[in-house]
Amino acid sequence: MNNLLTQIAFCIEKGKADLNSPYPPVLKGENGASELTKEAIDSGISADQILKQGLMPGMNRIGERFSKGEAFIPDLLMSARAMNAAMEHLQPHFDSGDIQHRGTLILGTVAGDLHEIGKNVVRMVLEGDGWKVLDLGVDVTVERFSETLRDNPDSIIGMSALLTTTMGTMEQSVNQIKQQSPQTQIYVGGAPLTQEFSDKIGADGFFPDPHSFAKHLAAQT
Amino acid sequence: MNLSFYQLHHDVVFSRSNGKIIWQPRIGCWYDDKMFSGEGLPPPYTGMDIWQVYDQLGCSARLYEFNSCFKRIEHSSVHVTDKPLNETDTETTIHTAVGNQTVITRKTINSPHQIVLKWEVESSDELKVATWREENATWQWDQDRFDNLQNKIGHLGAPTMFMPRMNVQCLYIEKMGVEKGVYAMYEMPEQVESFFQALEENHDRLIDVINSSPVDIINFGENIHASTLSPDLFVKYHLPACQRRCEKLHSAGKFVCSHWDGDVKALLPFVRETGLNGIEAITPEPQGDVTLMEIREALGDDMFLLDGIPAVYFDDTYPVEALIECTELLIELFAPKLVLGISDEISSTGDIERIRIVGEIVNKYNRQFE
Repeated sequence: MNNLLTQIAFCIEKGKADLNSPYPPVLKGENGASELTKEAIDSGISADQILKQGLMPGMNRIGERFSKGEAFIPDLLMSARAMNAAMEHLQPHFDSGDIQHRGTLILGTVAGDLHEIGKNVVRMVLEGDGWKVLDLGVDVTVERFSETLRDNPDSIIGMSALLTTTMGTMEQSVNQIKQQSPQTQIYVGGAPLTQEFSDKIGADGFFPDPHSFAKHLAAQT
Repeated sequence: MNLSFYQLHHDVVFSRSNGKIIWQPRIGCWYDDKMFSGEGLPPPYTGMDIWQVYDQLGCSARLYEFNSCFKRIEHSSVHVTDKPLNETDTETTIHTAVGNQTVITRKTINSPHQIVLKWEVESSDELKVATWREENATWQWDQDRFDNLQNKIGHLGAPTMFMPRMNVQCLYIEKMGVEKGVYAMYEMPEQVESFFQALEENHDRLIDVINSSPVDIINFGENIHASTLSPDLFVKYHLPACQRRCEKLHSAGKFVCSHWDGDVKALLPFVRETGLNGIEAITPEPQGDVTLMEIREALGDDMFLLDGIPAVYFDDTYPVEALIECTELLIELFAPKLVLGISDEISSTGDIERIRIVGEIVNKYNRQFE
């Protein structure tokens, strides 16, 4: 059993989605995260165990390497693809309540900013760490963040900005949401941002990479 | 025509300036954002076009307008149609003899740029069409356009152009987006590599035109970011193509640089293997992921740094002393292999008057060589 979960974690870390995927070349022709996850379910391993001892360790390992500068976005994308392939087999267990998300993250790039890759990487890493992520996309107005929060009141919010010109928009968005819902935690990220800026605008934290964000959230749940 | 900045720009990059450097801030975003928002320009720039702003600021410009002298000519069967889908979304279809490509974009009131909802290449068939287009496109030189630009803005700097992006960066930024681009490279490598081959051969035809032209400063407008162009992909695809390009351009005596405006730390160890004369837009801390010392060490004594001042130093979130200190350190570390500028551009929230402060430091530095 442990061997199967270890193999799932390995496939996710290396980005091996399924049997047909030619990536990575050294695993060509071998079963991937999809087949191994199905095999684990069929052999009676609980979905919760597969998530926590297979998928999460795999995503955590690639996330940690990313935060150390040893892995890059293409590596993360391939890992996320493998994780999604495995997750398809677990989705019915989420739907039935057998396994539960750690919580819900509302995620978006602020209005006026059309950069999405950093935000997408956060989504992938957080999903891999057991969070339900409501990805609002790019150019997200404060009204959309607020509406989504109204519909999902216990969520936390992640805001991304890559342009110095949209840092002001981020500040306004944080202020407005905090006025409406002071208890909601709002985290910010993006190349021009710093912890100092996060403190100044009243956000609850800045993280330079998705893995450190995931670790912080995991410590709170 | 006042040729002072034209001459100085040319002299600096070809190491004939006797120690002088040049200050070339890029202000396009500042200008465009203010015009898009309807805010207009502050006095004394109100009503000016961007070139008049440069004249008013008393500094040189990097003249990428000369790009328009190089015209891409598609195969005669290629034509483009637009169809509005609703108030904000437009579907653009590129019709060719071998099939179509579609792009769907969305206008937003919050940005002058458009959101891409559907990329030009999202299927194997569309990649085949993209490959065919590259195989069949050629390039032409427009002398009239060159003469007009020289007369209008030639006093602000030497004619400059940026070439279309190479393999991986083209896939990411122009054709597929990063996510789909990565999946394509890893899951259908043969087809992607055929596209890369056609793209490089197309660019070779452009280089033939460039090498016969009077434009001597060539930029690879790559927008490199090490997080997406990982060292593995850089070494496999980007580096060899870059080396081949540089060799061809150098054979005609061109100055060649490339635009690296994202995180670069993981790629700096390869920079001296590229064949480039310089790197544009490397962004140091606190905005980028490298220090000025790390950049200096990586570039060595022979390569130029173009730009170097983090854009955030033009915002009032940083004291003007930080800008002055950074400028003086850049000059100390990189002159005379320095085309000083902003990494990557002053933003619309930046204080345009800070451009004059840097200009004064550069003028004072250059006076010792007169």
